[in-house]
Amino acid sequence: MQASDDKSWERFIDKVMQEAEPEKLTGDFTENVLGALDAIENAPLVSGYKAPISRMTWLVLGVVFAGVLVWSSLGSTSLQWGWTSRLSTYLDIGSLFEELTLPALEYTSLYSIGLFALFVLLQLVYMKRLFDRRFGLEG
Amino acid sequence: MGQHSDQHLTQRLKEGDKQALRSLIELYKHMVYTLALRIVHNEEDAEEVSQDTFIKAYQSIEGFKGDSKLSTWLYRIAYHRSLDYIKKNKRKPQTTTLEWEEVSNIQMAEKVWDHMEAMEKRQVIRRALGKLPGEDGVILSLFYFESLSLKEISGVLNISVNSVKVKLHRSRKRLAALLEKMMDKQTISSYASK
Repeated sequence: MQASDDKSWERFIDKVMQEAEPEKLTGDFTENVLGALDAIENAPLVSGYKAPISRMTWLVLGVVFAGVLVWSSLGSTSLQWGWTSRLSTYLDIGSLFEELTLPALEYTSLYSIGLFALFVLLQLVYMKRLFDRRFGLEG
Repeated sequence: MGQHSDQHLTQRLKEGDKQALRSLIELYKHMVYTLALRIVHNEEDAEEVSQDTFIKAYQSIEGFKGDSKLSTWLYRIAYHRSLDYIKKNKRKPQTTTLEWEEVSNIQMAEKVWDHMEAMEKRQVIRRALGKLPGEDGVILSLFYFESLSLKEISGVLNISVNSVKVKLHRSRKRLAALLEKMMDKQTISSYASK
């Protein structure tokens, strides 16, 4: 009985589907596809690069960096970082610094260079994410 | 489309012939759009998916080895692109929420169907197919519009032939139940009395 029922509604669907037809696209679909493909093929491989850190920011950073260098070489050479001297009163790490024969001037320069390197590093990470997103390397 | 024509078209596409792409689009655009529409259930989205399908096919034609018909390969791209589209846009397919019921009176439904005008029939079937869950609509479209074999459909959907058989059976059943629901009682009685 079940098999006969199945057959009859299968036959019904066969009949119904004879009346059906695929959906129709309207408009200039073909031209749109060809146009889209042309646009993809003619797109420049590398899009115009826009620096994540602007020229002005670099200029300010450069001036600050140069200023620190000039100040550290011409200014007070007896610069002592507060935290090292304060720490050394509680911890005996002063001897560590004593063993390092670098004068205060060079520490200052070292910190400046470290700061500069940090900025470069941050820009590299930021740029990698930016390019990944732009060229669809993610997901 | 014959195997020879398939090979010829494929060869031209591999050579980067844009006229061949034009021919491919003209031949299959309606079917690709139909499959996309069955899944995304939105005309604009389906058109976007169809466009994407042809571009993807053109760019990936080197990967087509001719193991299947060109159309089957194209439908596979369309099917998977549609699923990707839904996933990417986090869309939930808008299909009917009615519980799937058995067809209660097939003879009556058939009688009503026979009395309906051709235009009316097309509208009803179009609406019914649009309400079916995506996979059901795709299977029915491939089976009835393109006369694809179960094996070919299994290649498009990337499932086993047995699964296609089961799903086709279920899709027909759902469509029959849906049609019966759509041809409401009033219509049924008015046609039945003729």
